[in-house]
Amino acid sequence: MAPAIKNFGKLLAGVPPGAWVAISHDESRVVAYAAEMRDVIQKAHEAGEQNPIITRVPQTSPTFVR
Amino acid sequence: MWHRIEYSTFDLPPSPDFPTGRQVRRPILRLDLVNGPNRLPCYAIVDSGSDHCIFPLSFGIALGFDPLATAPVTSSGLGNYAVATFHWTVTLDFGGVLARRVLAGFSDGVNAIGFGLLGQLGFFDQVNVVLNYRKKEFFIETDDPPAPQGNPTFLPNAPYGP
Repeated sequence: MAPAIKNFGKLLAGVPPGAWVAISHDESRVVAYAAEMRDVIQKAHEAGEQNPIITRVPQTSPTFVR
Repeated sequence: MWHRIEYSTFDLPPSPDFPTGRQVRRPILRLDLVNGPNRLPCYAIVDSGSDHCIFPLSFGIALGFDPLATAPVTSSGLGNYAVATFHWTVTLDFGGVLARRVLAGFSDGVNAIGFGLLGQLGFFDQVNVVLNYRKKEFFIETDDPPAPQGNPTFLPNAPYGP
């Protein structure tokens, strides 16, 4: 059972709100970010990361309440 | 077998209600969504408040599903009163420890957060979960040996099913 990154805030610092993010498969760094998900996957592949983890930085309040 | 996992932390910026900002913890797992030859690594929040597993619609499209060929149903609680949700059968692969084919929802209402939600049907019906927020850890119990894979039980006869 794979845990996630321990500190998302630290890893995603500097990524603009609303951006889709490609994280390296070893979860050590942000490989690419873009406004559209297909673009971030393409950028990651161009950067040599064939299997990036995809997530997003919220556009609005990052507080999460359902 | 029990698996111990630490909560993930997020640093939230200052706001009128929390002028100094704050840090929140969420029980998040890393997994791969698999549809045939297509595989998408992502994260999902363990969420007992979700009736079933649901992921961003963009994930479903990247996996090769076609929203134009599927009639959506509406879901509530995703920030709007009712949002269109497509249901497609995918495999949730938790790093080889657990892999289950489930009928999961894919919704534009989850696109904004970029995470999946691991809900009752498809996740909580497959594992046992213990949350210990105060110790910043949670535990997932998987069958040992793994239970045989069956067909997804959620909405098996729905016209918009797999």
